Amino acid sequence: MTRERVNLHDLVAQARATGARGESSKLLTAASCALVLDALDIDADASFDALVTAVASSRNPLDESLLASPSGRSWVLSGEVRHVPHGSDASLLLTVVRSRPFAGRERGLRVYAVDAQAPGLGITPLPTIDDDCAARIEFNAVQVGDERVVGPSRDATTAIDAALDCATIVAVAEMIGAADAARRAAMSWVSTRVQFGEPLARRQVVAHRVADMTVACDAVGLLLADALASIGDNTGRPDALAVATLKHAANRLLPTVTAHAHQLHGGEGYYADRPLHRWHRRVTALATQFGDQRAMRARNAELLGLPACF
Amino acid sequence: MSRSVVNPPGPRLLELRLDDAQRAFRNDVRSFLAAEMRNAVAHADPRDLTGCTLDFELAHQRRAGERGLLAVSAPESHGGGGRPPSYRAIYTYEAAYHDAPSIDTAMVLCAAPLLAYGTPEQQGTFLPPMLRGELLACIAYTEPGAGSDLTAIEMLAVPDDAGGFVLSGEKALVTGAHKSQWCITIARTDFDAATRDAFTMFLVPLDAAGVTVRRRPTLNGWTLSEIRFDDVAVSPGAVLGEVGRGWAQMTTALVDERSGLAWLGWSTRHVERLAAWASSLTDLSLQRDAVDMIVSLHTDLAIGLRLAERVLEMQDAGENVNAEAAASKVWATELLQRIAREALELIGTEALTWTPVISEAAPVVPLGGRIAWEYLERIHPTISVGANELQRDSIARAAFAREAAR
Repeated sequence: MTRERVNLHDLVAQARATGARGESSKLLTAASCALVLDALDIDADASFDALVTAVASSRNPLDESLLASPSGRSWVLSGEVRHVPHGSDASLLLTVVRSRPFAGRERGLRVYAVDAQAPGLGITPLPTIDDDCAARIEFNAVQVGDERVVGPSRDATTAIDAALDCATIVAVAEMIGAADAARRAAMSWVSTRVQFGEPLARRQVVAHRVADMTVACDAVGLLLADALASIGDNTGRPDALAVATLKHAANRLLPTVTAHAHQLHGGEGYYADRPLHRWHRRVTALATQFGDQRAMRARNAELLGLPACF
Repeated sequence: MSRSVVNPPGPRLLELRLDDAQRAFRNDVRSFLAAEMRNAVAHADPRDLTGCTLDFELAHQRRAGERGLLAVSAPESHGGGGRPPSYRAIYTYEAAYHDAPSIDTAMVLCAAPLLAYGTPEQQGTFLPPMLRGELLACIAYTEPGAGSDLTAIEMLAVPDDAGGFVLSGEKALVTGAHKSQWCITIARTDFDAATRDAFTMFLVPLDAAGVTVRRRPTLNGWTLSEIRFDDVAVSPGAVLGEVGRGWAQMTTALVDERSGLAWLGWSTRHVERLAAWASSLTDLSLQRDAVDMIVSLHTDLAIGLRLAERVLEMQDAGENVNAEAAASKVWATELLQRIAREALELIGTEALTWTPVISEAAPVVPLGGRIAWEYLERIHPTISVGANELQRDSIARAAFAREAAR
């Protein structure tokens, strides 16, 4: 393989910095696309001149809201993906779809490159709390030729799972960047803000909130390092349980950190010209993507060998 | 510690990250402790914190001592194993996991100050029997009027004509004093000095004239002790470290107790027990709630392990771990509380059946009645070794200091 592989460590560092700046960014979507294509041994620049800007994902085996059916030398995609970040300004949708059950030898998970102008595609922009050009995307019997299947024509579950696990790590890196920036902004605020004659930080109840926010950011950071370190030298894939634990922890802890930052910042932090809301929005949105808390509970339960009751 | 992750087949939890040598040690400890505890139920004594009779505890500690397990991280020059602090932590983690009576040993409680500040003579007297598991000792720092505020310690040590001291005062909340031969304690030697110069540590035999040990039952059936010192005369050789340096010595020794591995050993075992219980359920609605709870506890356990590993890595590298150990202590003790509380809430009345550790499991009820014992037992870790409020103070202090330094 002479192609240059995507460097996950670089993406993680970029994502942390992006999160800390609290600005709207396509980094995560672009990183997800790059990781999926990389896992399928595709060089994005060579194969696609169009801008690749969105991943519409439906990899949960129990999720049948979007399915692909074989039809001669092409596929028919039917169903919907309810939330696609950057789905409303994408020109090309990398669509991760499971084939319809009982589709014979064609069964499996594949990636389809679907043009945003394709007939049957309904893109509804969604005004979300995160400024990410999200859209709901309906697939009304969208025809996709075999040549638009990205990578191997056979089932690519393993490669796609690994790529989306890597993308999950990048998502958490952005969450940490944002949460930690909010924590530091709050600490700076309570250090100088005087109430009842002394800086807020002198009050134990304030200091203890800062302590909990600090431990939360540290904890998710340590799990992130763990997930990165679990990447096998040969496979290039992170340990699935390490990633699932990481996302589950990030979903639970980090939105609380940005919420605490708001509480510490008082009324001043509620103004839009303060950066605090950017971090809170981003962390909250990312806690629902790449596995929301319900999905992460099911995923962790499965990986821990607990009874499957989800 | 290395960063490899073990993936045994079948159900698994995230584990402590260990390198090959640490894993070999861990496996050795595991098989030793599993064999040790196989028939422990025949030696139950709920009045002791360990849940075991003194005979069983002593025999167990002697066997652990013979294998070099109690002193694995003590320097070789003193007959120890010379391994980094992480080895002792691994032993503590496994001992808690197996409910073995070797958590609050003389080595764990007293070795650090003795190694750091003891004279060669004191070390020669105490360390060899401690290494062999033959000596029981305890630490008696706090007092009824002090709690976590050790600056309020009032016990007096007045110099006598022979160069020794006369101790008078009362020590409280002492673990294992009723069975110990010695204690390490601290008293005021200078009444006018600032805290950092006011105290001195002492090594005192508990059979000395004027020492009274009173067992006082805890709410969970076992006893702590209070020790009265009524004009107890001790020789010059009883001073541990320097006169007037006791405060710094004690605070250094206490940090050592906070990396949290015992709390995480118990937590790991409970999550495993709960997972086995959940798998056996036929009520699918309860099973679903149980799985929800276990997944969330497991994630918190994974966090606890990573926070503790950070302390161990830093300790092995000889770094100051004050705030990191505080974070580990807060997380692990609150996790242990949460496990008992959530399990009790989920299981309901059946979880009220109370069975002490080591004792015969109650029939029929989930986890043999352990949850109720845990529910009451885990009230104290968030209070002892420095209340979690103090730990949060030091976490916040370090965080603000880091920001100021940026």
